[in-house]
This record gives sequence, structure tokens and C-alpha cells, in this order.
Amino acid sequence: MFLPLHQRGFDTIEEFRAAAMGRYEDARRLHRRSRDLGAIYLFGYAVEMLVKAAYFHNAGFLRARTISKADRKAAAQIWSTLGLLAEPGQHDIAGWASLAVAARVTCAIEYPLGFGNEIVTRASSLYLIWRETLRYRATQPLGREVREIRSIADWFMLNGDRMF
Amino acid sequence: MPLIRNGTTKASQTLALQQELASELRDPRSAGEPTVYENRIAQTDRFHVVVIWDKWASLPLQARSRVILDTYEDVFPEKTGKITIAMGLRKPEAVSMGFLPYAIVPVIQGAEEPIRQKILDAMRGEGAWDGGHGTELRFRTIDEAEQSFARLQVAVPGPFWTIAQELATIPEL
Repeated sequence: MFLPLHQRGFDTIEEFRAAAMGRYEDARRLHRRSRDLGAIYLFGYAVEMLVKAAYFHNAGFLRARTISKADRKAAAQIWSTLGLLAEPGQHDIAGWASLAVAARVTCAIEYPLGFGNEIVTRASSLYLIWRETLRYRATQPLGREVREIRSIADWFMLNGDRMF
Repeated sequence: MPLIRNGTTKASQTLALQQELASELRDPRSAGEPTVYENRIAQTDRFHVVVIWDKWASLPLQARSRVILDTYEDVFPEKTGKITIAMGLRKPEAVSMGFLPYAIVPVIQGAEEPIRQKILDAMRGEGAWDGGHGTELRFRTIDEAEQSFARLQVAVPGPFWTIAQELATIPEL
């Protein structure tokens, strides 16, 4: 007998990365059919999962280790120690990207010069447009908003491996 | 026929922003823009820099970041390569990212028109802007808000001023 769908699988770095790829593909299909708001919503989630996975990787989690609610809460709470200006919210893509980049500085192998800053500026550009509350909206995004979110998501998928 | 003049080029615009930011970094003023937040992370000797400035409007975030990094390289060469995050935001963007959680909210209901105008002028003098929710005056810390509050009390004395804190949404982590 199967567990209910929402109880299947584990929150791990591996799962987050695989889910990011899955949602990115879903978003591309929606975009091709001009279902732009849904596409933006999923492009945003794809990036969110990738930056969260990058944070936990940079914080020393093993790929298959389960990430608990307490782990996520603890991560958000070290924002000031890592030099961030504000505590990231649950879906704050810019904040989680900043956490990921700040945590990487404490690792043996740092990101190449400028790469971390690029992650943060691109995630922030996305977060100026995207919110998880888009799921409640029936509004039509502007063409430039769709293009920008798409190009940011493309960049993250292209450069995702470099973040780990 | 409309009169169309040559616009300022992006390069000269960028240079102008760089020069203005450099002058602020060399000789910081007590109020006004740009506002520069520089966080040094002691353990790693790295810096996060956020510059809040409405003059960023015409540049995308990555170009703003470049302006900040280039300016820092010029003004503080010893910090070159040590800046992990360099972000330029306009005030409404900074609010939307949760960087300015404290607000001074004027209590103007019932106030007569000349007083209302004085209140709004005083707020603009402190750096307020007209946003989607009316005139907004925001700060990153309670200390900054209280200092501004004291100046506003001098400019327009009376029970017109309150400090409010925007609370983050309750996380469902």
C-alpha cells in the first residue's frame, strides 16, 4: 500500500535538485503553451529549490541527508552571523541565495570570484518579480517579466552544477 | 513635432553614479541617499554591501552591482576581492526584500491641510517617497527610525508620529 503522495520521498539535497529540474521542465512546457503565469510560478520554484539545496550543500550537509523543518529554521536564523541584512522568509529566494553564497565562504573551496555575487543578483532580480502568492492570482504577466524570469531560471539550470 | 534630445548614454550614467557613490563613501553624510550598508563578516574578513538609492532606477541589478564593486575598488582598494555580495536596490525594492522593516507612519487623520502638508514635507525631507501605499518613510533599524522620529518631532511637534515595525510572515518551516 502506498503512503499518501505528500508523504512520499525525502527532503534532501539530491531530491531538491531533482525537483528543481522537474519543475523547470514543467515551467518550460507551460511557457511554450503561453501559460505564462503558471510558467513563472514554477520557474521561481525551480530556482528556489536550487538555491536552498546549494545552501545546505555549502553548510556541509551530505547529499542524501534528510533536511528537517528544524534544519530549515536553523538555517534562516543564522542570517546575521553570515552578514545578511534580513532574515530570509520561507520562500525568499534572494535571501536563501545570499545564505548559500555566504555559507560557501566558510568552505574549503570557495566560488570563483564574482560567481557568488552573480547568484545573489540574479536571484534578487527574480525575487523582485516572483512571490509564492502568485498561485492565488489570475493576473497576466508582462512579456518582459516572463522573459526575465525565464532567462534567470535558464541561467540557474545552466550553472546549477557550479553551485555545488 | 516633438522635441527629442539625445539621452544620456548608459556609460556616462554609470560613471556619474560611480562618482556620486565614491564621494559618499569618502565623505558619508548623516542623511540622504545613497545609503550604504556594509557588513563585515569577522570570521572570514569578507563584506556584504547593500546600497539603497533611487538613482539605480535605470540600471538592472547586475549593472548596479558592477557599479558598487568598481567604486569600492577605486575607494577602498584593500577590500578588492573581499566583497562577497554587492547589491543595489531602490527603496521600494529594499522594502519588498524585507531590508527596511521600520516605518514612521504619520497620524494625519483630522489634521488640517497646512499641517498635513508640513507633515508630508518633513517626511520627504527625511527621505520618504511616494509609493503604492502613499508616502512611505522606512528604516533598517529601530535606532535609525528613532533618530528620524526625533527630528520629525522638532520639525512638526505634536501627536503626529508613530514608529511601526513590519513583521515578517509567520514561517511554516
